[in-house]
Amino acid sequence: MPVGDWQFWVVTLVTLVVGAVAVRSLVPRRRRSTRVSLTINRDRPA
Amino acid sequence: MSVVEPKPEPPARPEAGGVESPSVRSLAEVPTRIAVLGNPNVGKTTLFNRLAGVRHKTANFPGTTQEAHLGRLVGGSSAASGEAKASAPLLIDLPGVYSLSLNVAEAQICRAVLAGELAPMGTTPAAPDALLVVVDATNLLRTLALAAEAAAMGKPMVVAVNQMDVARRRGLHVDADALSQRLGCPVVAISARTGDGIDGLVSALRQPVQPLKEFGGLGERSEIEAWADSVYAEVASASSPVSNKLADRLDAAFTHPLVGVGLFAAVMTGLFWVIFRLANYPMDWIDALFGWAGGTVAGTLPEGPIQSLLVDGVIAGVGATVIFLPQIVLLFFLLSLLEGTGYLARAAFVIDRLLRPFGLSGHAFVPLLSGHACALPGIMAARAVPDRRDRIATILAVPFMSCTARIPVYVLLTTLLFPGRPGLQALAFTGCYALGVVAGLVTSLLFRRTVLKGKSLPMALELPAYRLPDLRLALLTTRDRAWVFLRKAGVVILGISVVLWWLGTYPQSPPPREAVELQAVATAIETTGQEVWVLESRPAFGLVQGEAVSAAEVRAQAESIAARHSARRTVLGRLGATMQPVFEPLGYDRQLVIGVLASFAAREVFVSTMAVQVIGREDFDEDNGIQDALANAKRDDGTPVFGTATSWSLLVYYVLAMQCLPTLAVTAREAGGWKWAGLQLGWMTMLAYVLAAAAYRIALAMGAS
Amino acid sequence: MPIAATQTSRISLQQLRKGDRGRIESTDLPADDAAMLRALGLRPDAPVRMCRMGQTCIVEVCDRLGGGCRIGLARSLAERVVVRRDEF
Repeated sequence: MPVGDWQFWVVTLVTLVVGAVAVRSLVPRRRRSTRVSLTINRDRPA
Repeated sequence: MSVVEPKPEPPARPEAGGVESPSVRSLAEVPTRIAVLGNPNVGKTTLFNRLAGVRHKTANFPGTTQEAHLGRLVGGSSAASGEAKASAPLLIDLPGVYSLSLNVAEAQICRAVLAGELAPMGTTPAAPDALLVVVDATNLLRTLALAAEAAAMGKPMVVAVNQMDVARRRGLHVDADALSQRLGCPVVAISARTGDGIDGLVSALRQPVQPLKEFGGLGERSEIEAWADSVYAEVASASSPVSNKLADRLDAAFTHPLVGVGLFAAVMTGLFWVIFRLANYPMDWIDALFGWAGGTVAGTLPEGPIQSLLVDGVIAGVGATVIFLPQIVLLFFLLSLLEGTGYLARAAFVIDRLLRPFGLSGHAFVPLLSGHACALPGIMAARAVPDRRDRIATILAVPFMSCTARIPVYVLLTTLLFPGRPGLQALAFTGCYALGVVAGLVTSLLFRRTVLKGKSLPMALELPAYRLPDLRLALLTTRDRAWVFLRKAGVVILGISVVLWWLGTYPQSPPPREAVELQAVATAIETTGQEVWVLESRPAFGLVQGEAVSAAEVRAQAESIAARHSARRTVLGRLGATMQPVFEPLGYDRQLVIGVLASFAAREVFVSTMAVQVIGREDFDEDNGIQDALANAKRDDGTPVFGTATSWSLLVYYVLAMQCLPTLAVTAREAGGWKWAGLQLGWMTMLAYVLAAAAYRIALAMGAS
Repeated sequence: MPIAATQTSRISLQQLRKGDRGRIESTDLPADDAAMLRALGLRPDAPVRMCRMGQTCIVEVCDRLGGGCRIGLARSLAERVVVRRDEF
């Protein structure tokens, strides 16, 4: 590995960041539990 | 009783005649959030586009694949100023439903949104303070029932009677005043298609009115239907009996077991012909654009890792995928137009008969068709499949369809297999498509018999009236979907390109002795002016035995040798060597394994990766150059890399293998879990491996090299 | 249990011939399916016309004025919808 080359570190960092962002976009976000009512809301506002 | 026609001029007040004291029941202020509700096929989205203008967005409901359109009420001829736009009411276009009380996803979402429990992503949930209910003048009786259900919620509302232009042509009249009296809220007759009545609707929406209190008591379906019956009798009339002879004839043809399938095949062939034909031009432009960008960056930045990352990783990688965008956009656009004509529903109907035996429904055909351009839009289109098991089976079948990214690989391999015999090449090409379709259908059948066991929903599908497609709607839909594709796929593709670039670049190794010596020769030619002759021909480098060579040619060969040497020692190269035994039964050598591994994330990189492996450069402007170079490529033991048996095995492997990381990501999202993506990956890889190994053995047994 | 044609006028939707008109009487289906068909317009007393017979049939739900819609129905649903055929 060309550890003495500063550009190597730049591109490696960029690769890690871009890779991490991509992986994060792949992993589904934890689904917020959305309560969906099964009855029609017939309450009228007063 | 007067017949109200859509008025081209905006009325001073909304057509809310007959409401005794609207001020009592109307909102004091302009509503801030209006939910748009309506049956499917009533032109709700066309109307939404009229009301919200082109600047609206599409967002999913959290945790679902259901979409809503969101926009501000800015439509009508009295275009609001920028400031007024920001404070204009928010319109939420809900999924089309036949009834709010149904036990289907669309109705559940509508109920949750109306109750203020759910909102599209990026919006905070809040109960809408007004409703816009869209009914269809040509199908008023049924669509009125939904208006009654909405009225029962007691929210201020406005009813839009759409398709008035079509109704008028068919001699149907709807008395909006009388309907307004029966509902107690404003009713506006409109045509979303022509724009008639939109101004009146916009002003009515600023003053929605609570419907009459009597709706609070409507509960039973039969009560709602009885109400709709009595209202319909009062507000609708017809000047002449309507005949649907043309629709009858078209239906008879389009849904005929033989004629219908024939017409379907013709329509789809035409569709793909147009897509592949027209997309060529923008694809060339995109290719040129990325080529220019790469060249510019290479010319501007000094040579080094950063330049290489930008040129070979970012620009080349993203360009290789964005190049398929024109095909995807055209596919979306043409399908949207076809859907607008009413034909797609008939096609789904015909194809249902063909797909049922494989455990798929007629709804699956648009996803399967789209999959031939790219699996991502195909899987996204599977949202339209109503039954969950059918939908997952469809998602598992779609990636077997031969997408555009496979074409370069098919071209390469069929040319290597049948050099100079275009007829056989075309046959093998078609065979690849057929193999993909068969594998997809068998996959569906298998999973519907095992993990997705169960009866699927029987088909009950509204066949919308035939009409001319709405160009504006098609354009806006295409824009939305193309944007979703770019946003979803863009990040993943960029990530894959960059990571693959890194793995294929590091660690770097010094050039081998041969390359160093050749560089010295080149330098010697330059300094001494000595002439050097080629001892052995190397067609890949344009070297012919006995001819004089220039310093530049010698340097090119030195660099190529150094690149091949270096490629073997990168992470990817070492991985290829380690994994080679796994692919031995398929007949792949170390270099091919690197190509297969590199294209695991995106199969289109196979050809360029092989070019780097074999000839040490990836410019393939001269098509014959790369074909010849690959055809003559040798393994470490001197035998050809692309032997006949190996090429057959590769062809089978590329038809069947899951080599597209973005597809897995979309599968996980749309099917609702990574287990489905895992199943897809495992099954496709296994099938590809086994059948490719079989192809290799059979080809060997038949005497292939 | 499939519906048998016990009376001449009372048959399953599946048994209507092309061009026949009738009225929906009832459905013998699971609640969700029945509700779906009802919301689609196939509700008691709705006038229907058979447009295309077959494994999947097309019926038109058409009111007295000619407004209405067309619905494609799988056989498994159509044979569980009871209709009264209009006799001429």
